[in-house]
Order: sequence, then structure tokens, then C-alpha cells
Amino acid sequence: MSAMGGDMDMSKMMEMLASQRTDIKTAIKKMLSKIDAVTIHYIEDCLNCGICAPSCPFYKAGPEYTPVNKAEQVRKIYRKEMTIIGKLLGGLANAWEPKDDADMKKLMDLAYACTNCGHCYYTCTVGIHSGTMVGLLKSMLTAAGYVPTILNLFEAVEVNNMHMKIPGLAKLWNDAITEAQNKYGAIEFEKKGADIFFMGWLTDAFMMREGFIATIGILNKLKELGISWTTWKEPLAVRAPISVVIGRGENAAQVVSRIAKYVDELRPKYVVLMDGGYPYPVFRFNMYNTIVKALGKKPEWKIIHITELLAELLRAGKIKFKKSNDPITWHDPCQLGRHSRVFEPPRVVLKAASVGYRDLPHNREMNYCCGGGGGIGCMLREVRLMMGQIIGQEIRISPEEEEFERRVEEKHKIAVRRKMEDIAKVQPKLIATACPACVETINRGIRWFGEELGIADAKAIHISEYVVDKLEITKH
Amino acid sequence: MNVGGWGSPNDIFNFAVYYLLVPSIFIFSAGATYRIVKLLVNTKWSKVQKGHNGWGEIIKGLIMTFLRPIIFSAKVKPDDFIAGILLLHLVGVIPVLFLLGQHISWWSYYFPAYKALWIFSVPESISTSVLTVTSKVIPSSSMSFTFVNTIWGPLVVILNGDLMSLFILIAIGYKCAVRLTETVMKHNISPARYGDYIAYLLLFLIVFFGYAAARHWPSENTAVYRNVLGLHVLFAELLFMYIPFSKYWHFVFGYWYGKLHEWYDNDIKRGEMEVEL
Repeated sequence: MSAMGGDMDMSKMMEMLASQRTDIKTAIKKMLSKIDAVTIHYIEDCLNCGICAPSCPFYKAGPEYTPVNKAEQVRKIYRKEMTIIGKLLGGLANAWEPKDDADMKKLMDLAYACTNCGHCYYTCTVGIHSGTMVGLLKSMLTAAGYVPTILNLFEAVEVNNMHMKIPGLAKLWNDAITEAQNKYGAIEFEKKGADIFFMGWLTDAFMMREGFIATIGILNKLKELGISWTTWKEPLAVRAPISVVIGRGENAAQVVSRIAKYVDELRPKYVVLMDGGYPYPVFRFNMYNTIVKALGKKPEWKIIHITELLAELLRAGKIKFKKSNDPITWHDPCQLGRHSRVFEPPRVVLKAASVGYRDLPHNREMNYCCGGGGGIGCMLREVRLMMGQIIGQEIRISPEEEEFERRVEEKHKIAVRRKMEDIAKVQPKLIATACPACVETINRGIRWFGEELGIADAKAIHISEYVVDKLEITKH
Repeated sequence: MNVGGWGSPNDIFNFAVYYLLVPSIFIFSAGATYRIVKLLVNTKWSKVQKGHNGWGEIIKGLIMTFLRPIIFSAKVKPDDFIAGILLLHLVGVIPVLFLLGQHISWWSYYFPAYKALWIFSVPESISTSVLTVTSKVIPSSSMSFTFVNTIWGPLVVILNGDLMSLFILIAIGYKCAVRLTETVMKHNISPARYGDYIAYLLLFLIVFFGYAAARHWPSENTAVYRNVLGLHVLFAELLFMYIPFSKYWHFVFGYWYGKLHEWYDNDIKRGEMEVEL
């Protein structure tokens, strides 16, 4: 059977992925070649004060999972490979490098206990971004073939632009698009020169389906203001670029370039994302250089989030919301919040839509991560089984990886609980957010701990879903 | 006796002040240059779609970049805050090194403009600017008031060399005890790095011998005093040479670079986009 629907089956895909792996020594060299001035600061200037520790969602999973301990693995390798004292004294200078399978698996356990939420960056005494260090570690592990199967698989699907050839995935997109059009009117696909290009991912259509449909609804309503918009008929990625989650920079560049060229041909003024997860900072900051390189110039279009658009229209008095008193809160997705510093627009929108809005006790820079980012929320057994059903073939993993998956879930539960306890303190009925991993994780957390913490009837949703039917155009 | 001359190093003080100073400056400079050049050579500038941040936000961001970890540690790791930030840094090494009377005198010798800070001078003791309350030597001051008359007023109860040296020694002891306990219990919140113990030991020795010299301990004999003070200077020079190769680099460069980079990264580069539709 052509198991995944396209012209490549699962076993062939896995063979292809396995052939990409290199030996550990080469993987280390590859990782070290990515080091620049800022990473040298991250590596060499750690004071070892441990103040970062309590900010990490995995802190309570064990002392080895503190940001400084995870980042230390990269430091040890750096000392061994790049410093004279490390080469001479080895362990005495805290220099070390992985030698075998067992070492690499230990590093896997550490690397996939980091969501790159960036909280430790803000609490570090000397401004070290340990999430970036863990990203380097992941790049080394991935290069040597140590990468969770589900992430590896979907990355390959995205890089090879195969997602829409898989009937199960294509159906999810097409059904959501059809429903959005039935509910909110027609979409003008691939229209050149529109004000807005809506960059909706495949994951938006199936992990935040209602929010995806609602975002289309919002954009269609904004036409009354003379704002034109368009989108792609088929998304050019699952959630671009998945490669950054596992540290395959070259593949990420390939996907981002492909999308940038496509968008540039449509010449929009703004690229609007509803996803406030990693795609937002990747396109605006982390890989903007790649976009400039791919286009040979700075793009004319600006990348914004749907909440930035709505907040601006509110400030300009062009729209308003029917006010309710729903007890609603905002969970800052780490990538939109800490990584991009878009803190206020969603609050402006929610406060305009509900007098019952309340901030979480930990918010903005100090927001508690939900615990599901960095691919961790996708590496759970239930997600793997569900994805297998969608693509029409079971995603099989080795018993050893099943054990790894179980350990990831244990730690994930600890991280999720911290978030749930924070949410419970303000007793919201709705937790608005903007990242599919956050929506899934918070709803999973409510399932796990809701009864115990008294928030069993709360629900996490995408912010568009909450405001779409309250939106009113005031100025034409 | 060759006091203060360029003859053979006949005591530790002589060796430290007249023989090791120049090599220590050379090693420090070479190390510091190496580290800064390494950063410059590896610098990569990347383009971004910058945030639209007002000056108010940018300045608030700068202040918060420095304050946030301090507030955070006070809230979630109060013991670390008290030992590491408060005792070791804020009322420890920083005022002792830069404001203790004896040290202002030393700084001013090499950098005359430093004299401007005499007004902020911190005395060695709560009761006299010359000798300590715990010294066997009777204070020679004939002042009629309780406190040394400094700009710090009653704050001199804390801001005096006696107490601040003890703060540093206690803080180092606490940090080492926590590290060792974590290692023995195999519960390391942060990695067990041998370099940290070298760093703590050097600082401990500097402060210990400085403290001892200030009260002419263990003897009032001038030769002994010169050796004890000499050890204070010698260990300070060893630490000075160790700075570019250790965590002490934060003091000179790492902390400032790190925080300013974080500020640029978060409060200048990132932020909301300007939307005009």
C-alpha cells in the first residue's frame, strides 16, 4: 500500500531519513561550526549561579533538567573541542564529548526537556539564552540521527512539500477551508496585490480548526473597511519550518526561501499569521536574513500577527467588539510573547471584547510556558497514534523510543501542571491563546488536572475564535 | 631592609608590588584581548523586521534587563539572593573594591581622577577610619561621636570594611557549602565546575589576608604585616590574571556585554510591528 497516500510510503521515507545521519564526530563539528559571537557569550560567560533554574518548566522534573545543566552539555563539548585546557585536562576542565549511543541517548533526554520558551533568558544574570544552546544540542543530535521519529517524519514531509499529497492531511485543510467559506463567504485565493496575505498553516487548520475558520471570518469582515486579503489554495508547509524544532538549519532555510518567494510574487503589504508559535519569530527575526537572501532584497511586506492587526484597527477606531463579561484570560505563547515581545495587542483585543478579562498571575515576560513547545507536545503517544490515523498509517517506533516517549510524557506532565496551577488561580472559563501547541497542551492539562484544580470546565481556544462573532466594523 | 625598592624580592609584599604587577597586567591584557577579538571575529549581523518601540519602553527595558534577574532571584531563590547577590556583590565585593578607603587610595595612585570618589569613601571600621574595632591596637581617633563621619551617615553600620569583608567570606562559604552538598547528594541544580572552587578560593584568600592585614594579624611586627599584606596583593594579582580565563570575566566584560545584548535583542530589535491599514 502506498501507506501515506502519496508516491512514497512510510518505510521508504524512514529509510531516506536514516540515510541522512552522520557519525557523532562529524555531527559535533557541524554543531560547532554554527557558533557565532553571541553563542560564544552564551557558552563562555555562564556564572553557574543557577538563578535560571526555577524559571524552567522542567525544573521540577529533576535537577539535571535545569537550563544551566542542559546548556552545560554544549559547553562541555565546546571545551573539549575548542579550548586548549579542555583538550589537555578533559574532565578536570569540565570538558567532555559524547562517544557512543548511550551518551547520545542521555543527551536526547535533556534536549527534549526544553521548549525553548525563553523564560531563562529573561531571568539569567548575564543574559544567556539557554534555549539557543539546547537548539545547538538538538542540531548535533539530529545530524547524528538522534531525533524523535514523529518530528523527523513531518519535517521530511514538509521539506519535500509532500503534505498535501497525503490524503488525510489534504482533507483536513480542504474541509476547514470549505467550512470557512460556507460560514463566512468566499476566499480569493492567490490574489496579487492584496493588502494582506494570510499565512495559515496546515496545523492551524487541524489543531486550531475553529480559530482558523474564525480568522478567515475576521479577514472577510475586514473587507468592509476596504482591506483586501488572500491566501494560498494549498499551504506550502505543515508549519514552517518544522526543521528549526529539530535543528536542521539548511532544511529550514530551504522551506522559508520557498515560502518567501511565493509570497513575494503576490506582493501583499502584510503577511498575517494566526499562529503565535515559532513561525512568527522565525519569519520576522531568526530567519529574516534567509528571506532577504532568497529574494535578493528586503521584502516589501511586513510580517504581523492577527492580534497586531486587530489591535491597530481598534486603536484607530475602525472596529469594535460587542462586549461580554466572559471570564477570559490570555496565555502568552512563548514565541509571540517572550521571543517576539508582542504582549499588548492580544490584551487590547480581549479587554475590548470582555469586561471579564483577567491576566494570569505569571504573564508577559514572566509567563509560565505551557510545557508543550519545542516539539514536546507532538512527541506523546496519543499524538503519535492520532497522527497515524490522519496519515493513514501507524507511525511505528522502536521499544526504546517508546520508552523515551514515556519519559518525555512524564516530564511534560510536570511542566503542564505548573501552568494549570497558575491558570487555576484566576479561574477563567476561557483561555485564549494563539499557538497550536499551547491550545493542545492547555486542553490536555485541563483533562489531566482540571478536576483536581477546579478548572475542569475551562477551555483553551485561539483568540480569533473568541472575537470573530463580536467583531463590528465602525468606520468605512 | 629594602623597603619599597626595586631590589631582590625580599618579602612577599615586595614581590607582589614590584615584580608581579607588570606580568599580571600583561597576562590580563593578553587574555582580555584574546576574548574580545574572538567575539569580534565571530560577529554576524543579521537583518530583522524590527519592532516599533518608543523611547520610554526602550529605557524601561534597559532598567528591567538589569533588575529582572535580581527581583526574580529574591522571589524564588531567596537564599541565593542573600548570599550571591546581596552579600557577595551589593554589600560585598563591589563597595569593598571600589569604595573602601584603602582601595580608593590605591586606585587614586594609579588613576588620579579616582580621587573624586573620596567623598563616597567607606571606612574600614564603624568607629574609626584607621583601625578596626576588633584590633588589638587602640584606635588613635579622638572623635567624640560614635560613627565615623562619612557621607553614609548611620549606613556606616553596614558600610564598613570590617563587616563587608565578613559578608564576602560568609557568602563564599555558603556558596561552596551549597555546591559541595549538591555534589555529595547528586542533586546539582547547576553543574559542578572545578573552576568555580578555584575562583572562590582566590577571592576568599584575598579577602581573608586583606582582613588580617588591616588588623595587623597575626602580629604587629612590621615584617609579618608586610607578608600578610603582600599575600593580599599577591592573590589579588593571581585573580587579576585569572579573570579572562574564568567566570570573573563577567565583572569586566561578560555581564555588561550580556545584559546590553539582551536589552538590544529584546527591547530594541523585537517588539510590535507598526501597522498602517
